[in-house]
Amino acid sequence: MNGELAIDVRGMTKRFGDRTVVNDIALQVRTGEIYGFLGPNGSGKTTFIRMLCGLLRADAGSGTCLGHDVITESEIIKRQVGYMTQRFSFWEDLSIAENLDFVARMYDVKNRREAVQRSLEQLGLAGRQKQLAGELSGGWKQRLALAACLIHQPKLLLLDEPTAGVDPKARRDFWEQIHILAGEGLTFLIHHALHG
Amino acid sequence: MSRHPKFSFSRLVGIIVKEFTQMRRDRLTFAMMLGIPLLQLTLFGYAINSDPRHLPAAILQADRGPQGRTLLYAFKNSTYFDFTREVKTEQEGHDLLAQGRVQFVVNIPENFSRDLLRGDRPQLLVEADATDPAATGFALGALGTLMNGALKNDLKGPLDYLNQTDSPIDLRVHSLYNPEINTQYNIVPGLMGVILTMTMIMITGLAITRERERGTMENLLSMPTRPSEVLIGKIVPYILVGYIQVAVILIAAYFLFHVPIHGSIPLLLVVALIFIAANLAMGITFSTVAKNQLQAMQMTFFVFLPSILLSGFMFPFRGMPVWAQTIGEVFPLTHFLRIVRGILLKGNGLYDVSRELWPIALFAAIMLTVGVKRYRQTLD
Repeated sequence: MNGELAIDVRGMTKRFGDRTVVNDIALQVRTGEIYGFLGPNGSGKTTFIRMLCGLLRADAGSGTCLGHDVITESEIIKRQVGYMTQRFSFWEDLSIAENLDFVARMYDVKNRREAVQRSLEQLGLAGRQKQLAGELSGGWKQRLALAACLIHQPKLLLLDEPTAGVDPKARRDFWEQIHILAGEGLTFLIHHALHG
Repeated sequence: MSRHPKFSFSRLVGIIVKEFTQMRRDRLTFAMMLGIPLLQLTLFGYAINSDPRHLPAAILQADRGPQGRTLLYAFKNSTYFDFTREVKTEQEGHDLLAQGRVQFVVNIPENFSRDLLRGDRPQLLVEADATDPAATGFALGALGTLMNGALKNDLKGPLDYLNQTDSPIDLRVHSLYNPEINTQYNIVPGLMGVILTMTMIMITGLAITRERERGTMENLLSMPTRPSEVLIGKIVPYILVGYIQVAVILIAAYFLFHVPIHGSIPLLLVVALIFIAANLAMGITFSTVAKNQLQAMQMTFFVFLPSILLSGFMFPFRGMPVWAQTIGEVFPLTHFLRIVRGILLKGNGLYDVSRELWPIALFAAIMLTVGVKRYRQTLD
């Protein structure tokens, strides 16, 4: 049973000072599932996601993510997880191709050049690879971010309000893409504001 | 299973490539890195520290003999002194100095010529306003030879025995307001250290805080990077920038300011590498502590000011009180100044500079260790 769970955590708690931001959350997500996580702004969604991928240390809680201990093995989890931040967090003074190339290097991706090329084509970014990321519109930035999160072929994708500030057309394309990827066996944990 | 992935050389290269690309795009910063050395060289080298001649001087001549006159002419001919005033009393001379109307007062006392010929070593008093030592240093340095040369002609024949003694005149130089002397050769090599300190700390000081402010830190941390990979990867590109600055300053020092280069340039380049690394490591450590780019800048200046004040660049090191010297010894700049001046001016070799080299290397090692320790793998 446990082997089929991509995420299996309980008691996850995070405090900043005396403010408890995430209080005793348990979550189980099966492999290959698209799991939506809804809540108003400031409800601790981002904090929870950051604890899962090792960006924040949990004050309490235990469990596994992709079979690895979420508290002690975050460095291993990082290598198998793709995390798309709420705010665009790639390098705006690097081009699309340079951003992808950098991320591929950081994950020690084999056959880096082909991987970058493949990812450019898959997401329809091939013609714009030399454009600086900072010059892209919201929809294109989102495509780039998704491409970069996928380049090391993660098993789990954590998306933090992925379609905030994206026009309806790009939003539809994005969800189509997500469904295709889910069909390939990728697990998704998607955070979304209630009035997004 | 180890918690951390192994140090990856290819990841390090990845970070270096990224930093280089970003540096290339950031034209303004890059221009600043070249502009700062040129600007400072021009200011310090030309405007502030030219070889000053024709300095206004006052003469207080109580002696009417021929030797006194000979000396006065010799002073004038040296072109260092322009006698613009004649005073009757010492007090008058002091007032002129205090008001800054003259740089020197030359006092040839009564019976100077008579005492000289008797072999009584009469006093010749030169009082200098050494508020700006660079202004008076050259003139005062030339005094001794100037005098003896001038009197050679007068002290001939039976008087020649007076030339045999050290000096027939008891020259007294009073450097008022500031007893130490700095020269131009001191300043230009020193500038190399000052410029590297300022720009290197600042540029890496911004390195991590910039990632944090732009929100890209979250991304960098979510990837399996090690602190040492990130920190070293951010330091390496700027070593090249540092070397460009060293080259600019060396070329200017040699061709524009005619600073002699007695020692080995390769040795200087090796020392510079360690010095640059020390400053970059300090900057990157600030970067891990500071919350934003503004704080990183403030920390840079917090170190930069005492560095130039206590290193011996601004003031002669030995003229400072012991506590200030002790603090000064901590800064890499202090040791680097001695090394650069030693190599360029005295022709020091590796053995001579090693005494000053290890404190810099130690500083670099400590700073980098602190930086790696302080670098947070999480956003907490």
